[in-house]
Amino acid sequence: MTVFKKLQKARYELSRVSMKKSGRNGYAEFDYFELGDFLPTVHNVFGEVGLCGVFSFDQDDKGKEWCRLRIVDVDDPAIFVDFNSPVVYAQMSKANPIQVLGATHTYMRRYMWLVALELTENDQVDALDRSSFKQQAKPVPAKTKPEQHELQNEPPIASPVESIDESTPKIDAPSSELFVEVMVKFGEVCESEQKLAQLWKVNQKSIDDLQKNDEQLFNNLKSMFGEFRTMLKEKSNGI
Amino acid sequence: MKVTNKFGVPETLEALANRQFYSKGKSDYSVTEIMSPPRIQRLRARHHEEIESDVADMLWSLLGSALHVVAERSEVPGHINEERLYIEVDGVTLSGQIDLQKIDGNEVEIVDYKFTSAWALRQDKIDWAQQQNIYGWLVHKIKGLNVRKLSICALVRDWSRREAQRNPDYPQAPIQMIEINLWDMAFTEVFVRDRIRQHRDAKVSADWEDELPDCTEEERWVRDTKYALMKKDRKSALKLFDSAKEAEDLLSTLDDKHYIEVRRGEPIRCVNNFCGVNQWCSQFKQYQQELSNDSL
Repeated sequence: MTVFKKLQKARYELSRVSMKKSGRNGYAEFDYFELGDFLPTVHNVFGEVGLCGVFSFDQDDKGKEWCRLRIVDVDDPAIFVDFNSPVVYAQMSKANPIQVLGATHTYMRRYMWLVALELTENDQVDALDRSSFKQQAKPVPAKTKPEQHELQNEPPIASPVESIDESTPKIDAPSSELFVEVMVKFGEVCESEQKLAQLWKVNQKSIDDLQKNDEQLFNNLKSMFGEFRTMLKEKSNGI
Repeated sequence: MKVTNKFGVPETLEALANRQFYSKGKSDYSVTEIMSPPRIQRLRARHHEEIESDVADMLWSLLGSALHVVAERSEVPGHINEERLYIEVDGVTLSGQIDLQKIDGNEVEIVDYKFTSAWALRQDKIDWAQQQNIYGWLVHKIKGLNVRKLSICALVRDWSRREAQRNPDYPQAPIQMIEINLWDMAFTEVFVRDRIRQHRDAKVSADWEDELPDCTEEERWVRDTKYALMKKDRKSALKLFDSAKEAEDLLSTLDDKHYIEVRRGEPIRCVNNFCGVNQWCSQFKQYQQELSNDSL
């Protein structure tokens, strides 16, 4: 039997076994397979058909990290099927580097096994879309003081960086007066202070030029935005 | 910035001090800028015209500039001196001027020159690691080269031959090469984006006249409070403790000639005005207020 036939047989056997997804993503509201949910069954089926999975990490010539799940035919170890994926590190704001590494390994192993065995899960992109919808309704406060890293040897811990909403308009106006007018128009319709700040940030370069060249106009813009902020604060306080 | 000349140094040096050597080119932020605390950056920008510095205090910064000018003239095959690189990150332009890139095939070693003291050389320099890793990331992103090594060429300004002979832990030569550990590129990118975000947020706060984000304890170089076990008629401590309890436990086993002296930790950078803006800093004023309340 070829290695492909063995693998296909293993996939078929696994599809007939009912396995419980014990992982729960409460934020995006979906269940997922944890390694412990399927690995014992996989080892059992692999033992029967004569396959063995070997998981490893590697680097290419450019230093890019890859992980590989090699499914080896135990009757002829020179015959195997490789499943490869680039490595993406887990982002955990409060974890130390070794925890990040451990989480990355667990995630990558899980995904690689799911791919190799064609185990089905809910569409996580859909799930994430739902979660980002929720996030808009209730913004998560931005972290203002990320941890400092005490040792030279220790890299910074990957933490999510708030990205600016791409729909925030960058205004390119032919005159300072028009720029201020358009800024005010967009500022008026901002639904939150966060959006107002994003509008300011995206147009920071033009605002700096305005401050340098026309302080009066800059002050007018600043005071208009001050009023918008007061209104948004009152609105959020139910006044 | 107003440059004063309190010690009557030659006008030639005074004129040099008045020249603006530092430039971030046509970028919104420089690597040096994003590495420093957002509060300090904003206060410096706001009070730029009022900040005073004496020529005598600018000696090392002048010599640093001189070294860069001299290094720029050196020509070694495969070496690139003093190159400024630019990159777009989240809609802003970040630039970094790299002292030396030693290129070998598709690999690069990045070197930065630093004037430093023998004492500082033996401390953990997280800011050196951050800066060099950002430079490494810049070179990797822009030139596609693999960063083989990051290092600092430290020029020890107070080096003593005698101390080097006496103490094997002391730098054995006035120039030391220090290797910096390479971070993962993905981590470095997150770090860069986070620093830029902090600075952009601080800029909005400054424009809107909101309170600026506080400097962290690390950024203020806060020295921890220590508890010194003292003995009457003796000036120095018998032992220093990090916690009051540890000190008190030992004190309880000793006679009444012993006592505990609390050596309150202080933000060294603020207290000594190493940031140059403490007189305009509300965080420093609050610290002073708390200090005076404690002493009442």
